[in-house]
Amino acid sequence: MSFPLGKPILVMLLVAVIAGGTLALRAKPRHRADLVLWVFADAHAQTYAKDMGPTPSLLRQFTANTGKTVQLELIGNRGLNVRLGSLYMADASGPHLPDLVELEIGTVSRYFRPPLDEVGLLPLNGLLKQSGWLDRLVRSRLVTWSKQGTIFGVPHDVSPVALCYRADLFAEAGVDIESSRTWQEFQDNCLKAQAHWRQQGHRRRWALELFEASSGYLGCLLLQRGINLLDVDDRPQLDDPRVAATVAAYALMLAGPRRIAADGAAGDAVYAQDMATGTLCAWLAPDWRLASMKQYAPQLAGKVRLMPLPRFEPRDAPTSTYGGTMLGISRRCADPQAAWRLVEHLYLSRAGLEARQHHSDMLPPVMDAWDDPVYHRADPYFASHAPGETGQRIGELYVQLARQIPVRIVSPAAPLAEPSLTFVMGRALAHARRHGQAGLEEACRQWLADETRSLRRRIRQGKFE
Amino acid sequence: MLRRSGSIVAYGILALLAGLSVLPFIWLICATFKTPGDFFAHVLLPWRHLDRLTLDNYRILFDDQPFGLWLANSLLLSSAHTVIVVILSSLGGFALAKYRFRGKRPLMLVMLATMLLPGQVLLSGSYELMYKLGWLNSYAAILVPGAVSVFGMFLFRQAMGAVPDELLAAGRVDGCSELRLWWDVALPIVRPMVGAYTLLTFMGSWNSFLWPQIVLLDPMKYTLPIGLSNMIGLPSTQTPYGTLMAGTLLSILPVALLFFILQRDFIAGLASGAVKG
Amino acid sequence: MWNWQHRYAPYLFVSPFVVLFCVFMLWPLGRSILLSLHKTAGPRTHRWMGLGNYGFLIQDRLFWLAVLNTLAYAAAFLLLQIPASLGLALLLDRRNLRGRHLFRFAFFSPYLVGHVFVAVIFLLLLARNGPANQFLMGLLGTSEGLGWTTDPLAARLAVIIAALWLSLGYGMIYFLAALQSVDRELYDAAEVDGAGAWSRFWHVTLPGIKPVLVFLILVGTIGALQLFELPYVMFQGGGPQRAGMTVVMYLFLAFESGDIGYASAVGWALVALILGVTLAQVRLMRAARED
Repeated sequence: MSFPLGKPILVMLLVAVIAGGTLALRAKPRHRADLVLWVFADAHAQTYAKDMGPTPSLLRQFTANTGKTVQLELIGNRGLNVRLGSLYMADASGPHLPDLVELEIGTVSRYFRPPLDEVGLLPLNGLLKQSGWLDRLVRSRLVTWSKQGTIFGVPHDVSPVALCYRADLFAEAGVDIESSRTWQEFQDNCLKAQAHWRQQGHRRRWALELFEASSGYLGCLLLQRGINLLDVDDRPQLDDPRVAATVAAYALMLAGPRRIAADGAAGDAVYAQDMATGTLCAWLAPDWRLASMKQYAPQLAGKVRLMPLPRFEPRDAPTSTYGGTMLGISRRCADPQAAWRLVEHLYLSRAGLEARQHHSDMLPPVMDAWDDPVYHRADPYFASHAPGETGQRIGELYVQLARQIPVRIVSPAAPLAEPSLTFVMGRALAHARRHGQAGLEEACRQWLADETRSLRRRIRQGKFE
Repeated sequence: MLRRSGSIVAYGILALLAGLSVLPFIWLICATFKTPGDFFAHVLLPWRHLDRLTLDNYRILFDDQPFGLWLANSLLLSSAHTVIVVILSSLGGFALAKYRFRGKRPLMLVMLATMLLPGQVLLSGSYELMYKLGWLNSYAAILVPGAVSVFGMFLFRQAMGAVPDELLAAGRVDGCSELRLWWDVALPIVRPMVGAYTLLTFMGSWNSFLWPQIVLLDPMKYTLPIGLSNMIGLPSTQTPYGTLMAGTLLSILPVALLFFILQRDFIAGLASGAVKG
Repeated sequence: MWNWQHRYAPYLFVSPFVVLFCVFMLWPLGRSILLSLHKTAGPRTHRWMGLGNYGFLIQDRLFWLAVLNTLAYAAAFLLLQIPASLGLALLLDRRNLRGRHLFRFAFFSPYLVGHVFVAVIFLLLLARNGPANQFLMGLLGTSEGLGWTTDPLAARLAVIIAALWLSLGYGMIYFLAALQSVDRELYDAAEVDGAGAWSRFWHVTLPGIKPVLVFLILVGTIGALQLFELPYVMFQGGGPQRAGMTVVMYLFLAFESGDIGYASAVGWALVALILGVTLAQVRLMRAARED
């Protein structure tokens, strides 16, 4: 008698049973580790969990020191935020909740929306003070990860931004790009270099990489001028007249008769291509970008150099900050003391800082660590101008810039403000392509005023008084 | 003569369109064998340096990532889901097709209404419910809420229309219970539709991502889409594209194979039920 | 005995649906409606808004932009997808076509990829120096490809192309099934009557596949109105000058901003939109049938 549901269903049943059986056999009853840590970046997972030759991994060390086991889970950023957001929104507790979680600056703002006592993360002011770390960390980075003075995360980095450029190509064009003190000068110099390259037949070579589809770099330049999209009270700053000027300047770098920039494409492997072939000759370089440059464009060794950012006005900073990660503890974590010790071990301890140096050149937010010789050596990947030096001392440059980074404010209304800026930037670009500079800044002011009005309305709508 | 040349034109158009349709696939297959350096440098393959092609992406997939685990989870959940849905939906469709009962009209209206609901409206409420039931991170959360498909019920209602009432009446005279009627009389007649719907449901379940992602928290329970999307790291600059493409390709293979072998029956099955009246 | 069974069996058979609906749909739906009448900031902080969320929604320019975009996408998509997949099915429906298996597989295979990865693949394909642009540059000899992610028009085109690629095969399969079930004798009769190819199509084929046509239009509309994943992954946001902003993206952004109450209201606005468009379509099709 044949099976009424048909062969396909029979096959499905079989597959289900076999798969289920395999899984059941494999599954060892797992006790939840004492601490569960969620990270989203593979590089961080490697730093914490991989043994470095004879040195055991940071997590191994921690277990040896404290007897507490740690389970590290690597989750893609979007998935991590969807899950964590759902868990915090449901005010969940229990084994599913991670004890510690790394969060990225672009997605952290949602966690700051609830009132202070309902934020899903544990306030760290007390722990930081008691342990004495409060004064040893870069103050502005602590502000970034806090809400109304309550600190919710320990910063992973400072992320100072320098400008990286193809020293060989600019030299060949006879342009001393590093002498540019202002963006205006920089643009003039780049135009000179481009003219030279065009003569040589490089039709598709542009001097600078800037984003066209997202306002990330534009926001970075605004930050350089001390302008955050929203201030600490969630008030939009887009109607500051300097914003319109900056947007116009940015658009004119990417489009119009004085164009010097082009959009970098998605993915490290891709713009490494652009860098290596000389399609793009300069780019913004926060310190975390160096590692992937070296990995994907090894052929550039000795040909690139770092310089501070040019400014718009003398009162602007010669640097900005872009990107960033923090480590936080869940408020409903079962053992906050143990969690804090893990935070210290991974982010602030000697061992933690050493492990991090294996994977990147990033500066830690611990200021006394900046005296470590590893941040003062000559890096042969970067060309040196000083005679007798094997490479540029990029660590020193970044330390110098780190002392001047502007404060980046994270506001829960950021997901509303960023698209507004992107929108205005898009319109500015279209205008610049069609009409060049004529009336651009005035138009930007108008668009920004409109966006600010609707932003204010939306923020007010979502606010709790 | 005219027909012959018409045929050639048809062939030509089809071949062109099929080529375009398959092109991203070919790109996908090639991508799985390229090194990170070559990934964007060459559109399809580094023709002059074919020795640079590598199986590394696959190796990384199996070494560093628990691909087998994801596969097992996907197989388990998709098959179990399919079996449950097919059984319950065919039962419901049978009732709708062959019986008159009070509340049938309002029931069908409700069913229609649920088909209009976008998933997002239910998402946060369902999540809260799972948390309250303690079903977070369980297979039950995946299998139970979706155990009946309204679409399936309507499909079977159409298909079961072909079951002759006389046969059912005869069965009842013989003393068959209604359940037996469904099992022994109706199902064999609509078997083509069962087959088609099985494949359809399996394919849908295989790719299902939104809900499983927020409900399955334990890496041991990750299905293929969840595991793979985890590799889309942040910054997007650090996504291991080659490995991701390898995983995507492998995750497509089972369903692709299934479809390739069963396509004729699949279409015939759909034809048998979905299209009348 | 069987009379009793006969009376109550249907209730038993539909009970799984009813039970599951009541437990797993009614409660979340109720929660969602309740939430939409509040404004929330955290797990315990909410304030009654009455219809305030909806009120804000109605006067929000961004929302209407999203609606317009979504309707435009849905219209373009349907106007292209339905005829195209029907055309494909017609081309493939010949008895003597060799390699039918392969063709059908070729057209259906994109559907198997799943929308999550279609977006990723297209993101890579449409990169500034990616394969698509490299091909165009080679073909046209220009020095820059199209700004797929930076030019609003090209961006919209990219979304439509990706969506079509993904779903042409799906529609084709259904149409193939429908075509198979059209009575061949009707065709012969029409030929005998001297009807040409177009006339045969209009008077035999179309009426024969009408149920599937209606089905695909309705289901396709509901799906198209929920477009989100594709533009979101391809543009990592709303797209150039918000070209990719759809209603579901607006909903997603509302969720991201943390006000679940407002997001729920947007969800119900979406339901209203789908309901409205679907009813309009049903009415239109009914009117067309009268002719």
